[in-house]
Amino acid sequence: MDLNKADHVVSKMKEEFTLSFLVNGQKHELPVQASARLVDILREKVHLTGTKVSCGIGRCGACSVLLDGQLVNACLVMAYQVNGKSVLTIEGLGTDGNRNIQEAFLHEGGFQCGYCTSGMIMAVKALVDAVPNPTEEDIKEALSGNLCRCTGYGGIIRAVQRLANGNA
Amino acid sequence: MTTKKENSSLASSVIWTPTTIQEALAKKKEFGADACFISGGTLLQLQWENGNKVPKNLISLQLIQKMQGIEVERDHDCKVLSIGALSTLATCQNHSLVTMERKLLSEVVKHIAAPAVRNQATIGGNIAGRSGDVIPALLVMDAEISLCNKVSSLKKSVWSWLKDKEDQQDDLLTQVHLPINEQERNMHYFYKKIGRREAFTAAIVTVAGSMSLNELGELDHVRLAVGGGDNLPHRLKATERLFKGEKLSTVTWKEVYSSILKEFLPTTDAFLSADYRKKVAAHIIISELQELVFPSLK
Amino acid sequence: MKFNISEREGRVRPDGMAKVTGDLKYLTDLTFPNMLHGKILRSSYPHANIVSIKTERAEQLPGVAVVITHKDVPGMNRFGIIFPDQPVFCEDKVRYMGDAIAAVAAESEAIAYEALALIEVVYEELPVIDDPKKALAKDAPKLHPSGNILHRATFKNGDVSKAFDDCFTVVEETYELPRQMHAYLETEGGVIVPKEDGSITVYAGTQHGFKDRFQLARILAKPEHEIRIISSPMGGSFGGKDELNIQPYGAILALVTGRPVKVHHTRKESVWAGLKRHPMRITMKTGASKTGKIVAHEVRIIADTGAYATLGPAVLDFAVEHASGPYIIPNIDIEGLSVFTNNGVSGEFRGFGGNQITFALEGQINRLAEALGIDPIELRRKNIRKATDKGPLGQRIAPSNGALEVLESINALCMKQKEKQKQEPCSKWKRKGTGMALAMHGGGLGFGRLDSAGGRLALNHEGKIEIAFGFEECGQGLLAVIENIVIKEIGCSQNDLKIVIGDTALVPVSGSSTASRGTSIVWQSVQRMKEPFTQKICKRVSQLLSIPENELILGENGLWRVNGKHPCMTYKQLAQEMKDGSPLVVYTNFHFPTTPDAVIGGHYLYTFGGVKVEVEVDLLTGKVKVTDLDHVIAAGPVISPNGYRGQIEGGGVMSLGYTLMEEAKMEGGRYVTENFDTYLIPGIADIPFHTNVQAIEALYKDDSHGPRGVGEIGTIAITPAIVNAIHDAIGHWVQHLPVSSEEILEAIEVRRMLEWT
Ligand SMILES: Cc1cc2nc3c(=O)[nH]c(=O)nc-3n(C[C@H](O)[C@H](O)[C@H](O)COP(=O)(O)OP(=O)(O)OC[C@H]3O[C@@H](n4cnc5c(N)ncnc54)[C@H](O)[C@@H]3O)c2cc1C
Ligand code: FES
Ligand code: FES
Repeated sequence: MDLNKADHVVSKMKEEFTLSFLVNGQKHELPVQASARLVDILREKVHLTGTKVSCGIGRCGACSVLLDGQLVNACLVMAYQVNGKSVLTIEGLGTDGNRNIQEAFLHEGGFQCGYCTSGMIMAVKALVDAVPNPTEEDIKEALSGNLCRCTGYGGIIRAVQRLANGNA
Repeated sequence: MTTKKENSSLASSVIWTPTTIQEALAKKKEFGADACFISGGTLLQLQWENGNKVPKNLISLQLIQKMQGIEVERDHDCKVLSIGALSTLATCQNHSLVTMERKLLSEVVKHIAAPAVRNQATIGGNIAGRSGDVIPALLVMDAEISLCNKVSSLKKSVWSWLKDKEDQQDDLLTQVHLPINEQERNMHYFYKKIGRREAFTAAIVTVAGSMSLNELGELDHVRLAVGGGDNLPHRLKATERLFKGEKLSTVTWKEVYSSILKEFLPTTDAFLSADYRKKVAAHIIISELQELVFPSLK
Repeated sequence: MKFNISEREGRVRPDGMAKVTGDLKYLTDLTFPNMLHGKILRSSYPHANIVSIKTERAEQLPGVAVVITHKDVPGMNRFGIIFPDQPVFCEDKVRYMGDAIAAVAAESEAIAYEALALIEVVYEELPVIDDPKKALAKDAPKLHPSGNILHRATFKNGDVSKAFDDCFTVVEETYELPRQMHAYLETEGGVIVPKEDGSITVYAGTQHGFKDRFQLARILAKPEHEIRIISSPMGGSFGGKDELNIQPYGAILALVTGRPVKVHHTRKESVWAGLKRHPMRITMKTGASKTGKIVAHEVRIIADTGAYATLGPAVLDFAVEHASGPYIIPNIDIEGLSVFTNNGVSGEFRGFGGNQITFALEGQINRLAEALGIDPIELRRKNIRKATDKGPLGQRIAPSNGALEVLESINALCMKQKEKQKQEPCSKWKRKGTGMALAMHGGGLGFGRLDSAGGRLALNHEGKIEIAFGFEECGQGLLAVIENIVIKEIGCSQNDLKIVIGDTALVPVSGSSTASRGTSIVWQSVQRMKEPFTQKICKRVSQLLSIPENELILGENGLWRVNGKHPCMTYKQLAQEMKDGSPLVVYTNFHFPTTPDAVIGGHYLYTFGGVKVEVEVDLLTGKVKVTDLDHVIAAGPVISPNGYRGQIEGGGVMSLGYTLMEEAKMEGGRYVTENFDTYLIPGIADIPFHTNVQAIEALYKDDSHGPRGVGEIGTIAITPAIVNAIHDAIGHWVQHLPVSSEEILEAIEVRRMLEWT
């Protein structure tokens, strides 16, 4: 079903429907529950486990992905909300050869256990896409929804600053 | 202990995707209490997580064109910034018309949740949830909202909508209107959200205010509003009256202080008392008004 | 953000690439064919008798494979690292909300949850003991057969009561510390896979695979060799995954069904069941002479250990040991009690009791300084330990000048800060303050505790230099430490190396990945193994190539002849040559260095840390913000600069949270906070972008113990330093954590700092 072509009769998505969307550029058609969480679909049906779940309620950012280029929490997005859209996960980042963000994280100690890292990197991606030379305030705002328990954010901040200085 | 994941009722919900306001209202009428509107769904999911019942029917507003977009309109001789209820908070923060015409809204939204949530959450949902952090700001901006139900559609000030206790569950909030002519009158605004951490947290208290000084140096158009978190948002009408015809130099701040403490009735939770919230609201309001006369370094 | 040790070698950590690309499989990411999902039913009450448990309805639900209870535990229905007192499944009584009653394995998580809801448990509620005070009351019901006191620890020296009589000034204060959540981002979980021969493989994070194997063997009534534990990588632990969590449930479910079973806690389940940092109430009475010599120190500690023991006794011992920190005080009387309650189980947590006790101790020192009118740094200088002084329990320790060196560095930083503050005017509604504190922290488990260490170094059949330890990678950067040490000491390159950890089938015994012992042990192991290993290799190559042994060295890609242009034999070639011969492998086994004096729990190797902070107190809200933060650490040479800095910065921020916002509050034995919406940990906006780390690398002359671990030392001094800075800003002493903005605001109002109040 294509959401954008709903006709006069009000469309409905039954408990189950065929979700059609792009993940990292690849088309997927999957039978899912309309209210299923995007993060579960990615992890369990598309078998991409780079996107993590930690709080399940939008409060930590471990599940951050880009949806049509916008940062979202995959634990808050429901299947029907991604129909016809395009999702970028950590696995799809850098497949074009541009691994600047990842390199910066590697060199500046932007992670330790790595569990927040996929989401954190996606949030950084959303930031530098919008503001290539972020200020301290920009960094604080853009990453405010992504918790990291290990690094104390020092390495993450240095990684973003390294990107801004263009020596990733 | 139940969580959303465990809430099997969600899995069996049907999601309706009307494309017009009329269709949405018809669906709501058809299913009544067994249905609810859903925009971004961020607040609803929190409520479900906390054990609220998931209705059998979810009426997604996502595809209703009429509820999208931001534009400047004329209403009689007033300029009005009209914001579709489906505009995400991120759009409200970054849209050029908002940053040009109503910077305050953009500032306010910046303090709500975090970017990922703001990309999904809508301004309509924030207001309709009745405790959203934008509400105090809307109150001091004299904002209006457009509401539609099966029989009528009308415009109402946010303040009177909040005060109306009658059940408006079935009303669809379609637009938010912010008058923008006022700015020419030299209005000053402030907005502060205080939370238990610097960002990305529920409000302990949210306060907003507006005021101007007339030619006589008297305070004019003083509007003060409080809310945030579980506090019911409202105007501090009695306190506002204390400023009528006063100059900043003649205001008795102690009186303002005790008036706010009396008028604001916030909640208490496991972490902070109502008393504390009152004081914080009062201190912020007073400091902001004082800043107006004696601006210091911020 | 500065660090005096720049990245010496641009080596990125071995697990780095897989982490930044999302490719790394955590154990909770694994799935297996035919896998079931397990869920655990926890108690509905903090304290109750179980009248009956009925599982029939749950069993009948389509999609449910099995429902298990205490009746299905094959072996001992108990666990606990020090002594096993926690039921795997409760039989007749629940003692906290995290107690397990039953578990379900089903085709999906959703079905498992549905089944949990169908299990009927009848309880008979009992009075809830939600505070140690209640537990210690004469008529309190007994939570365990031996009563409500888990452990009592004492230390005495001299005669305090006489000494207090002679003191010029005595300060007495009670400090209260909250329950902190580890809040690792990966909640507990994993998969347990059974084999047809009855053995199982447990893929689940822990800090000590062999200990899990030992505990599981008891529970499952199985020989240890039938249990394989794969326990790395982990998405954080900080002590919280040291004890068993989901493993026994997954294991029994897997054994009963004969299918792989995955159990992964949601955040809420993790909060309910998981360990926390001990809340403590600490009363200290400290007296000094007029000149500032501290002569008497009396300490009473009450720790809320929750329902079961786990490492509670050791945490209390550690707090008692560190009650005088780096100061030499002649008359001391310390007594601690660890008390059972119906609250969540308290246990191991980074800092291990040191955070709580140091907060109190440093608070005392600052208050004494104020009472005596002596500069707080000067007061510390007068009382600080000298390099060869005995340890806090009177035991001999490895000499170190760290305490004084850290103090002097912090002093310099404080002076600079005060200068800066003078120049920067503060806004009208804010007040700035500067504070400092010191910490001393023992590494290893302490005297009298089995603290075996060891490792294995080999040339494996692929031609890799394979180094193996029984440690776990929780995120702390253990792999980078191993890599850096081996490359430096052996001379091979990154590509020549294979590191093996986290799998009981493949690794030697190294002890637990706790107590800041990992780095020490890796370094010491390699020191012990490098000679014999190099000799063995060179000897073999010498025989094969007829080159004198002493002309051979280990280098990149293989063995080199001195002055050679390329390796004379690559490691691969050597491995080929030895295919049929005896393998080239060396082992080491030793005990973590301990004091020669028989003082139970007393440490031998200590690290020192100091913090200087600047805070900004908001007069309108009472909120406190840390605006500037410097750490000075004396823990020997830095092995892996990014890792070292990351441990200190990350540990510091974890404790910034402990000081200013974190509290896993319980009311009537139930958690008020069950997720990250109300349990707040610091976000990026809460931390000072101005954070510097200064490492003092020099060890005392002839110290042969090498680099010390820094996993914990960065978490300790920051708390008292912040409280000290708050006092500097507004003149109010905080004694209760987390700092309450409500309390600060009251203090501001009492001081009439806002003219309208
Ligand atoms: C992690 C997280 C953090 C948050 N932080 C904040 C915060 O800091 N401040 C804050 O104010 N809120 C916060 N929220 C709450 C919430 O996200 C916002 O209030 C958001 O704006 C709600 O918008 P929504 O579109 O997602 O609403 P929904 O969840 O879709 O709906 C919310 C309610 O409004 C009704 N509704 C929605 N749209 C309409 C409409 N057009 N007409 C009539 N009724 C409608 C729904 O039926 C529902 O009752 C947070 C939520 C999360 C998950
Ligand atoms: S898991 Fe989605 S935000 Fe935490
Ligand atoms: S690296 Fe572990 S949570 Fe961020």
